[in-house]
Amino acid sequence: MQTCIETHGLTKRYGKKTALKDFTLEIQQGGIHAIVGSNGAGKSTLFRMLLGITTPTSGSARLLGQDSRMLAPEVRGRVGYVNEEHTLPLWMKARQITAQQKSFYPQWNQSIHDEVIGYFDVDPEQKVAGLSRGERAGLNLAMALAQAPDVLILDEPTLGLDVVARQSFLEALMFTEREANTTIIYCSHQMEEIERVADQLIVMEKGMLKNNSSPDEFVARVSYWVGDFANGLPAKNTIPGYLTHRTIDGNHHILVADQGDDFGQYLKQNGARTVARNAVNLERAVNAFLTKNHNTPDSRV
Amino acid sequence: MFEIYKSEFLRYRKWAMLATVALLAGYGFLAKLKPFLQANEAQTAVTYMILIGGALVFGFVQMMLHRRNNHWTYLIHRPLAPHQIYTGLALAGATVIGMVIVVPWLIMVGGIDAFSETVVDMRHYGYMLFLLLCCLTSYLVGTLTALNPSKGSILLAILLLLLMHPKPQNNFLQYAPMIVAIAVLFALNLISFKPDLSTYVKRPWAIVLMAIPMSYAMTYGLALSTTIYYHLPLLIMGNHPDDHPVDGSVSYLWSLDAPQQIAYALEGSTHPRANYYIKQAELADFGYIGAREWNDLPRRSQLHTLDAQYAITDPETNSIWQFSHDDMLLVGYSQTRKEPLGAIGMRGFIDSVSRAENADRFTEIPRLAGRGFLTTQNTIYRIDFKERRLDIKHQLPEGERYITRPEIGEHYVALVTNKRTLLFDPRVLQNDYDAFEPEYEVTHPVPTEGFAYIDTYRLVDGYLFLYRGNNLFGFDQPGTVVLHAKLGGENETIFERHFSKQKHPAWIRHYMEMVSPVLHIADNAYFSALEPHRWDYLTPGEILGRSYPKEIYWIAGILMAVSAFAAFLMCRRHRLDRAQTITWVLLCAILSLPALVAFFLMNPLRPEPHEA
Repeated sequence: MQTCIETHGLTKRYGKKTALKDFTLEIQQGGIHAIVGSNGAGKSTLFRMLLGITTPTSGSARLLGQDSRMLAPEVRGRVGYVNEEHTLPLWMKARQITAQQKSFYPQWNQSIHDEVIGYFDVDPEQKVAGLSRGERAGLNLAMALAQAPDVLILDEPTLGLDVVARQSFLEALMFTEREANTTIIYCSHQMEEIERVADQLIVMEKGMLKNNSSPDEFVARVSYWVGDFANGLPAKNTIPGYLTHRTIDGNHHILVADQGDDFGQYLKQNGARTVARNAVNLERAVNAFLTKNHNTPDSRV
Repeated sequence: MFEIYKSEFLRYRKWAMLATVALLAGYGFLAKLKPFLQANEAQTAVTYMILIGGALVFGFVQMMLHRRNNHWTYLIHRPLAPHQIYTGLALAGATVIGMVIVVPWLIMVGGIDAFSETVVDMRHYGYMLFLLLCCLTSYLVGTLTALNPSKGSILLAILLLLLMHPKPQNNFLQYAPMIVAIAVLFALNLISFKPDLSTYVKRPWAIVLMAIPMSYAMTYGLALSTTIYYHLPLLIMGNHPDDHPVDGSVSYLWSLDAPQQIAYALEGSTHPRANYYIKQAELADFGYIGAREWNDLPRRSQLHTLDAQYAITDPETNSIWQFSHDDMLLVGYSQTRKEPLGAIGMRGFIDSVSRAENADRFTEIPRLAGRGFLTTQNTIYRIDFKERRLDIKHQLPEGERYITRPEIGEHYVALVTNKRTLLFDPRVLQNDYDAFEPEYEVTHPVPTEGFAYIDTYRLVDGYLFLYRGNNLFGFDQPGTVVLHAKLGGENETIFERHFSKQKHPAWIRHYMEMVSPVLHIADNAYFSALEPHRWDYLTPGEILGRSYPKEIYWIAGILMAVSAFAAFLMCRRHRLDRAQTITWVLLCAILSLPALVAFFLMNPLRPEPHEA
């Protein structure tokens, strides 16, 4: 299988701030790869470096086998990109923009465009400035998919969309993935979307790669324990794989990573009178991962 | 590329139309106030500010709008090479500018040409080309400022000074530098228009193209900086030569009254009548004659904004006479009868322009003066509109030419030529039939480059002439000359005083030469090539033939060496490759300190941590 995205030791610093740190990732051709991470995790920086818009401080990034800093127009033509603002020329009509995009892409697939745009109510004679956010997203996605790209990068494309528009967007996305075998890199904060569409889950935190596996494998890495501790929970830094915990009705609800069934034994040895293991869903698992090192008022003390 | 062009033009189409209409309305309003094609400094300045300044802002804003993060990704990430994208955008910008400049001007000038008797030459139409090229230059500086990470990109606006300031001797020299500047700026924009806009220009040719004009701009910046470390401290301490003239220098004369100036200029004179002249000066009427050679020598097809006078109006016949550069004739129009009045050529009045023969046409553009004078470089004509006569009022011999306009004083009319000063009785000027013969003829005691004016003291038996200048006796050789022009034509040089002191130290006087000798020579070479008749623009040979104070050579040499060494160290610090290092070291070695400043402007403050 061909590698479409490849980064090695990718690092980007803005002054003293490190946006991406020694980031190594390999994404094979095909499937929908979801990227999640809290704000400032470095997702957009990663995309910008992949597209050659930002030069890495160190390390390398390759897109469809070509160094991102020197992407040829042909390679750019094989990579679609949709950002959260759905940037389009506001002064142009939908029809004009579509015609313009069509002229750039010889592989333009009109049927995909028509199929996708069908999910949205876009008037071709309407100026972009007059389109709703959902319509603009639909137009943007239709054009990006009609380019028949090998890789499609979607940076929070459903941000600000209402439920109906989001639903249409996801359906259109899955339709394309089925029809065109496009590798889709999908960045979102919406876990239900990811749960629904992602084949692979990439978790980023503070500029570092924390996970790259299928969502199921990722969920399997996280276990959820409830324990009743007579003398309180042991110190957090002594708990192996500790992610997060909450205290509800005197019971401690603990989420840990990469621990087996013997973790229950560990809890008992450390003062738990009763221990129970519960199921965990993707959203909870991701949240636990992301909140582990997230700044909180007490963490800054 | 065409699609990008189309989309971008669509974006600004309405604005362009609005600006076109607004400009046309502005022109229409001006035409109501005064003849539209009449040169007016304030109007020209405002036009330049609005159009050329507007083009710069437009270029900057256009690219800044694209630079916004997501907009930039949308623009750049497509199967088109960046240079094609930029070309599309720039062409759209140029079309907008072209529309705003050309359409209103064509409507106005074409309308005046078609529906009035006003003289409209090709140069009036050509002015829009000048404006257009200036605006395009300015526009490209604006786009470059937005696209290039260098903090000094805006300094390339100095190119406008190089293009707009000179008054070149022909149209080729007028437009060729503009085309070159536009090509250079376009190339720099192309290389700056890259996916990652934060990366600095690294290609040696681009470094050279950008650093040279930036360094040139910096010579002015560095010259201005003397205010901080020279002028201001002296002003604060109360020792500035402007407030405390240096005794023993020419500038000291400024602090003296007119009679005292003669006394000062005659200090040390052994002339037996020196004291007599000092006393006579106290009683004399004082005046002065401008003698700085004019730098607005008109040329055929020059920009109409450079015309010294729009027309000659004769109130008696209520006629207007304008000089046509296309016909090389003075063309008349009766305001009373609303009909053409023929033309005036070198041989006199002609019934109509179409009847003019080649011998009638002037061979150079005459200056229009007052209500009835025409001046060429060696002849002054007097026009009698009523009797339709053209008389030669004064003519110089072969090889001699006027260097200033006639100076009309209380007691004399003065004509200064490249060889002599001629004083005439002012009454003769008013009399149509009297010959214009000088009462006094004084051969300049020194070349005219050495002085800017001549002080005159009217004595009972003639005039005392006082010449002064910091370069009166040659480069950096200040002095004064007192001369007695006697009634009857005899002249006597009373005293030549050489001064050893100057107002400012050598490093201030020759700051430009010191801070970058090569740029100083190049600057002068460029201007003297465009305006060879200007005495103050020197050829490289003339500059190299000068003898500067030794310290200037030393300081200039040290600055060049230090700049080159500092550039080498900075290149190492910024981990520039060999080609870039050689380029910068050579630039700094040749262009000296301004190039080193350009290095700092064209590179990040801190070395980029990129591995690659």
